[in-house]
Amino acid sequence: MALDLSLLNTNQQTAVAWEKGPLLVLAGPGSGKTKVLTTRIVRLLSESPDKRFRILGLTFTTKAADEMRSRIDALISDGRDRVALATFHSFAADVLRQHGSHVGFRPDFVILNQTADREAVLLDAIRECARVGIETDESDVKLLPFLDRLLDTCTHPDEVRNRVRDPDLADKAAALFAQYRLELEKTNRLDFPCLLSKAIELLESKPAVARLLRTTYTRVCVDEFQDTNYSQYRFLRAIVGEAPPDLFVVADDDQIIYQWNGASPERLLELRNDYKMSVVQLPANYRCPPAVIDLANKLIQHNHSRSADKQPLIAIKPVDRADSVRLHRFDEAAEELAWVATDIASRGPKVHGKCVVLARTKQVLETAAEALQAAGVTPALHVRKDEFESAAFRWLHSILRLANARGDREQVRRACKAFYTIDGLDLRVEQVLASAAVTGGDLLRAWFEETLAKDALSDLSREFLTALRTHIVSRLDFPGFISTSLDWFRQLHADDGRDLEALGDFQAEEGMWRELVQTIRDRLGDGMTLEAFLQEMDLAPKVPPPPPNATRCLTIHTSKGMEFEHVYLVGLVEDQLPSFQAVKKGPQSRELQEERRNCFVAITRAQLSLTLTYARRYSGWQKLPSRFLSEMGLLGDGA
Amino acid sequence: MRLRSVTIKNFRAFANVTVKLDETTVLIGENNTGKTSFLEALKLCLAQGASRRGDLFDDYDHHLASDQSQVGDAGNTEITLRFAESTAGEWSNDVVQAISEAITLDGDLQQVVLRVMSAKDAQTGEMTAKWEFLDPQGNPLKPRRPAGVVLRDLQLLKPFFYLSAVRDAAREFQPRSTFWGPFLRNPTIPEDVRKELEADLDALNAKVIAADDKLKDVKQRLEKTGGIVSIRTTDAVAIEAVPGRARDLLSRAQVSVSGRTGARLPMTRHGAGTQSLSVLFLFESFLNSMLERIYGAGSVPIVAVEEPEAHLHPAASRALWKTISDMPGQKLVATHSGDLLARVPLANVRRFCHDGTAIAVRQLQAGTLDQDDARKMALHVKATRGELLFARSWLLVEGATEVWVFEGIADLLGIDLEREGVRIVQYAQVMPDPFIRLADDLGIGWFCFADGDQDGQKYRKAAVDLLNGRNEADRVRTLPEATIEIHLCNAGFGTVYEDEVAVQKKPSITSKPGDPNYWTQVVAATPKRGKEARAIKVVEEMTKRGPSSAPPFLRGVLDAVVQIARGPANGP
Repeated sequence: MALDLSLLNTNQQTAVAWEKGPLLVLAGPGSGKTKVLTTRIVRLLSESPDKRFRILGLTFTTKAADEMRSRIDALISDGRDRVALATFHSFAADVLRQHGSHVGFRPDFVILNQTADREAVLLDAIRECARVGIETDESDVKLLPFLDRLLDTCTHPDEVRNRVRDPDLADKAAALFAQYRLELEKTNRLDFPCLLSKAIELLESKPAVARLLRTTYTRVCVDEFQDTNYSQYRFLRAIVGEAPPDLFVVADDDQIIYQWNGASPERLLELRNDYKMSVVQLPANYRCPPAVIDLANKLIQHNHSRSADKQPLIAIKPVDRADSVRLHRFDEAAEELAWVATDIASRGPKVHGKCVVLARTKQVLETAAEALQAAGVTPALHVRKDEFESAAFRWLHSILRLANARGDREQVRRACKAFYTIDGLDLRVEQVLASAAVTGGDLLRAWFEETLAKDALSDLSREFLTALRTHIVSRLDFPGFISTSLDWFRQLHADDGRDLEALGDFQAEEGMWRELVQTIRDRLGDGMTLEAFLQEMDLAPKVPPPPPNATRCLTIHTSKGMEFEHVYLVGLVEDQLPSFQAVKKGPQSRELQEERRNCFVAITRAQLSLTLTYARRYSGWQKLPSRFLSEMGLLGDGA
Repeated sequence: MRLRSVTIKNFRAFANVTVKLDETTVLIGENNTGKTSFLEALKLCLAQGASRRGDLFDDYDHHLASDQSQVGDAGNTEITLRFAESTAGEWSNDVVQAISEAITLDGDLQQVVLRVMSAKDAQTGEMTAKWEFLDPQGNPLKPRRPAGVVLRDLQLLKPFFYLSAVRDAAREFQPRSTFWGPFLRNPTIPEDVRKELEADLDALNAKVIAADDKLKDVKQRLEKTGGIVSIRTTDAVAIEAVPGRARDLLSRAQVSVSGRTGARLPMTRHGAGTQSLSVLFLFESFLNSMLERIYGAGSVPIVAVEEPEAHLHPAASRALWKTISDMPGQKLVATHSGDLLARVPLANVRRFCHDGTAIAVRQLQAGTLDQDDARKMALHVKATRGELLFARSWLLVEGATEVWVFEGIADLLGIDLEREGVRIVQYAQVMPDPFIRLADDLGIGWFCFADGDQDGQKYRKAAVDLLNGRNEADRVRTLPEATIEIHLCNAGFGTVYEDEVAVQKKPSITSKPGDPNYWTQVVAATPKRGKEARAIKVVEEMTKRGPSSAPPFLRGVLDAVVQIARGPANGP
């Protein structure tokens, strides 16, 4: 298949056609970097129909991986098996599933994605340490974030002591760190930080595994490299080795806003040094109005720790409206948000879904959502959950997990509890355990047997559970099980008003569930195993899709990688954007530069118009307009 | 990418065996010891796709431990294949990239372990198969691509071809056959040659039609069809005496082989041996020129050939080994031909035998024989045309005299050594111990018989050292006398020896008949040459006198070795 590159600009074409070793694509916002990345992958595939080498595409979010996958699927059908698009964590999980035996893990390890579960592991570690005489008690569970930092920086257990100044704490931290990791290994479980650190340990201690990866994935692409933290970079290095024939990295050092998570501008320098990267820049911006580009260029040049040779953005869109940038000042924050809400409302319901309210922090967004509601606009706050909340999906998820590990008591407990909410049937966990004990320990089978044996079970549920039992207990046909379960939920929903309430925010979660299942199926193919499905489910963030025509209220961090026709950036005052902490660190600090990048990211989301607002008072406190407004040339110095 | 070992559990007569495989492996064993089952187990794993439901095996494939057993009683039926590198980096990138998600590391060596397991489904009670790749600890991997899809790629890399004992040229040289068809379907004729050829064919057809008025008439009448239905107006009708297109022409190709007279005979009119051999060579040609085209880069086949010697003259059988071992890929050969086996290195032989109710597969282990002994054993196998390895039990004796005597006594007593699987082997040139080590590795029984003299005691000791807990009385016996000749004299056949003493030698016999030294002196006075002839005379004399004349000591040895041959697979 001949690939049509004529729609790409010269620099994009250069990047797509690149065959001269490691390449860094410095790409500004809206420059078509995902297009470049996917087009290059498609080029590589279509030029090598007889070859078997595979391409690894590492991203930071499953959403980015999914988007790349659907773009590739649209362009090419042969060879999609040869592309692995994954987040750093899910690729680490893949590597450990295949080779984990060398670092103490079996392929069916469980990923802990909930803080509560991780704290339970830490509590086990604390008890064990206390038992052997180390001075620790359950209150030390608060050290979990500290352990995370140790894991994120790939700290060797022997080095923990040197990282802690307080000698008492040092011994305890070292012991807990070691024991926490041991507890995970003993129970064949892994958390997110350990996925990376164990994968790194594996690749660094077992060169043959790294060699196998390098033989397989001769082409490696990384999206949004600027977000890479220490352990992710180390993982990448362990994958590609010292001198990779090909490494294709897309990054924008003006969009580093995850410094708190370990990202840093220096990492990009490190990468350029480590791999002698050639550089292609993509300064052309296809997204924003020229006036916005002008602001963005003026703003970001105040940052000194950027790539020295970084070119300013070039606006490609024609100037089409006079009001593409607006600045409004208010006395009170309430007025500010009320005006924003009315302005969005006035654009008409069809446009509501194309507007976004951006702020530096969540608190402002909650107020903004109220204001939107008051103005007759449906707001959509971004809520990320680790687990399902409605009884229906908690039940479904726990039964699937139980089907995968038929001796897991915790899932029986969850299934019983959720089922009580759904059907009102009070099934005791002990009953299920006792029943399983005499039939060979299959808790899944026992759950169904015990439930169906109850006279109090509703007719509708009995009918469905009988069918569901066949699907999951004997056939392990989990796609069939899921679709029948959804039918059951819908009937419960339709037939009985009481159940509607009992099912909680069923509708929102049903949409989320369907979307998740679809993306996992796209990723794994139709023949996916239950185990892989559940692991993907654990790795995926659970965000309900926004209702149609709702205006989304997002933090700048969440908005990264998105675009909207009309962007409202609110709260542009000192102590908010830039944040209070950054202001305190001083004008030349890393923190303040990160705030500037936050502002840069926020304004470059706009496709048609950008509206900037600020008030003189927030919560009764007098605030000065953001320095970024002056830097963008919108306010005279000190205005 | 070589298949290093196959482990079979509860499949047909196999309870649990592991068979290591070489570049070329030769399977031997009596009928009904599972050679074909073994090859079929491989075929089930490598030549069939993974299905989502149901069983890979049929009811009779599942091991039944006794006549009371039901399917599944013996436990899960499992076939585990292990492919592995012998040096790090041996597998090409093509191979690694194709099945990357199934590769794990055993030390620094890459390996792929595939397990096909059929287990009883708890709900339905049906045996249900699943295909899994395993990690180094035997836990199933969870690859992103389902195991069934990876299996397909593995099967392209390691296609399995099975040539059963029946090789029918009429079938194999059909246009649609597996090995011949691809040649006809994928001709690589240069474009200009093809055009020229097809022009010639057209001319030929025109000439044939023009030469026959009747045909011309048919053609003209048929062309009238054009007036009724819509077809081309000119040249719409062609009568093709020979196909007009090169491809069509080839699809009718027939293979003929000229006999001695020079007359060309179609393949199917030749004898069974020629047919069988020609199929083998066709197959070789297919592997050489068609395999990568069809199966892709890096594809190396596993070739299983059953009884390649079928219908062949022994001399032809002997030549087969080279033909087969030169074929591309990994070869598995099941044979009953000693002539073929005579050419096979001992280390490549796998001996299938009964072990109680189940089947054992034995092989010569590395380190059992030193280089010198290995060479000597190979010579012995070659000298006996491989027959040595087909025996159930060896009677190890010092020399030719014993061979004549024991064979004679067996005949006399009606013991059929061939049927019992007993082979008499002379060890005096070598010492008995390499034979015993080899026999123990291969599961062949043995009984060591030695003279009562000093050498005999040395042989006895060598055998006793290898008893490994077995009872000496069951396995090793030395004569009460120094030699078998003296034993035969004592047993009443002394006249054969007295008759042979030359007059000049008589004075050397100083003892009188009846003295303990008498027979020793008589035997010593017989000529150096003619020992075997005297043994034959003894046997003739014995036959004349009848079964009761057979020396009881020697009868005891024969009985013992027959018991061993009838027992279970032998070994320490």
